[in-house]
Amino acid sequence: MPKPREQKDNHLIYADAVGSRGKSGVWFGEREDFKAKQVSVMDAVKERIEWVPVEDAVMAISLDPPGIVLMAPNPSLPGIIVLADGATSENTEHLKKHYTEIVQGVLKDANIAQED
Amino acid sequence: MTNDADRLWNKYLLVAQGAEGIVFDPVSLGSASLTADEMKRIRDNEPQILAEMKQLGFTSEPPAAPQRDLIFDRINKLGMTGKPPRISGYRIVVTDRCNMTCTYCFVDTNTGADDITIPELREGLEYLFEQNAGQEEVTIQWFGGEPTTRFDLMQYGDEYALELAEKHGVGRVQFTVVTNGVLIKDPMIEHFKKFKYGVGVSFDGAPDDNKVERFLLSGKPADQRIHRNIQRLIDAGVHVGCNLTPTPLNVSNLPDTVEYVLSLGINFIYVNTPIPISGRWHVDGEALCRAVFRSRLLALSRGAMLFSSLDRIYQALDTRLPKMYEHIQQDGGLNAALLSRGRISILDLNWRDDSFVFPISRLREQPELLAGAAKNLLPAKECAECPAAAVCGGPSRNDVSLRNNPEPDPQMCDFFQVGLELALTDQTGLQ
Repeated sequence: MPKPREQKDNHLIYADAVGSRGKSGVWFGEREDFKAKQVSVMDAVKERIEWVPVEDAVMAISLDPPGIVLMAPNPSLPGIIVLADGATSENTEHLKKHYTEIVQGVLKDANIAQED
Repeated sequence: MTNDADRLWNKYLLVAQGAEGIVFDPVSLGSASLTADEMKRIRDNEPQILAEMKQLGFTSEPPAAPQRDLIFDRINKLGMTGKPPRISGYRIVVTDRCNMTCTYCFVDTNTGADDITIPELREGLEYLFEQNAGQEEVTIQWFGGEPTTRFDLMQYGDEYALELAEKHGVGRVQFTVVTNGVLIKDPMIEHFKKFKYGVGVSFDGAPDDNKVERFLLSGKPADQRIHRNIQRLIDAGVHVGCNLTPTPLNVSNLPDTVEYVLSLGINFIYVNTPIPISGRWHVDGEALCRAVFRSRLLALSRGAMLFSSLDRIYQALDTRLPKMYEHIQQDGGLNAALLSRGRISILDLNWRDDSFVFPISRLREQPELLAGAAKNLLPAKECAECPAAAVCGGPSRNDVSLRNNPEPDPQMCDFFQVGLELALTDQTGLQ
C-alpha cells in the first residue's frame, strides 16, 4: 500500500512550521511554551501506558537523504535501538543501515561484542 | 525547472526517488510515497494498486477541470478570500534613521523624514488594540531604519501596548525588534528581558561575509561590536535570532553561514525572502532553495530552528491546506506597517507605494481597504499548471509593485517548484 504523507496540524504532536507570520522573533518566546506543553503531554501519556525510561537517547537528523534517526540504549536488553524514518522506504532503509553501521563501528572500536 | 515535470495520469506530480517515487496532487496537496514495486505496478495499470491509490484519493480518471479551476474551487469552498477582517500585528517603522548602509536594504534610510511621534504612536496602537479586543494575541515588531536609535519610543510604545492589551482584553503582546545589533545598551537588554522580546539581529554571517554588503555609515565593519552585543543578549537570557539576507554572493555558502551563526549560540535563524527592490530577484531561485533546504536540516540537526519561505511549502503539504495568501497571518489578521504621520501601509514591507498607504482615520471608516493587500492569485499563464500553484499562489502585492509586473519572477517560480520537490522528500515532522 502506498504510504501517504502524515498530516501534521497539531503542534503538540509535531513542532510544525511557523505560519506566514514567521518573521524574526515571533517564535522565540513560544519555544519555552511548547516545551512546557510537551512535558505535560508526556506526563499525561505516561499515565495511560506502561513505559520504561530511556536514558541517553539521541536523535540524529540526516541531511542526505533527509530523515530522522532515533538511537537509544535498549533499557532491558543489551544493545542499541536504531529507529529511522525517511520519506521513502529506500531512504528509511538507507538511514537505518547507515546509523546501524555507525553503532556497530563504535562497538567494534570499543571491543564490545555484538550480542545475538 | 519547468512545468513539464512528470505527471501521472495528466494530473499528479511524480517525483522520482531512485526506483521509488512520491506522487503529489497539486490540488488536494496530498502526497504518498511509492516503493519500486508499486511504481512498476502503476506503470502496468495493475488493478489492485489503482484501487489502493484511489483509496488515498489518487484516481486515474481524466481531470474534471483544468488544475487552476480546481484550485480556485477548493479555496472558495475553504472560504479563503484573502480579505483580512482586521490588522493583528504591526511592523512599526519608528524612524528611517540608520547607523549602517547596507547595499541590499529595501528601506530608504536617512532621508531626513520625521520619526514617528508619541501621539502618532498612541493613535496607531489604539487602533490596533481596538480591532483586536478579546483576541488571543497581537504582534508588534519595531523596525526602521535602526529602531534602537529611538529606544525611547520603543519603551513608551511597549508600556502603552500592555496598558491597551489589558484595557481591550488582548491575551498577549508578542514583541520583536529587527536590529543591526550595533547600538545595544544595558537598559535595552533589561527592557528586552522584561517584555520577553525576540531580538532579530540582521547580519550576513562571519566577518568576511558581513563586510561585503553591510557597513557602518563610516564605511567600517562593525562585526566585533555586533558579536559582543549578541553575546551580551544571550548571556542575559534574551531570545536572539539572526536574520540572514540571501545575496548572489552568499547563497552558495549559506549552510556555512548557518554553521557560523549557530557557533555564536543563536538557535533561531530566519532567511529573508528576496525582495525585488531593483525589479527582479537577484538570487538564483533553485540555488537558494537547495541552500535553504540543507541549512534547515543542518539547523535542526543542532537543535536549532531555521525559518524561510520553505515553511509555507511544508505547512501546505503537512496540513493539505493551500498557502497562497502569504499576507494572512495564522490568526487570520493582517500584518501592516505603522508609519509616521498617522499612516498605515497595508503591505508590511512596502511604504514607498502610496497606493497601499492610508491614514488611520480612513481605515477606520473603510476597513474593507485591508482587502487591497490580497494578491491576484495565479495571474500568469504558467501559473495555471504549475505544480506549486497552491503553495505559492503567484507574486505578492509587494513583488508586483516593486517589479511593476503582474507576472511572477522566474526565480521565484524556481524557488517554489524546487522547494516543493525537496519538501516532498522530507517528512521528518521536525518543524
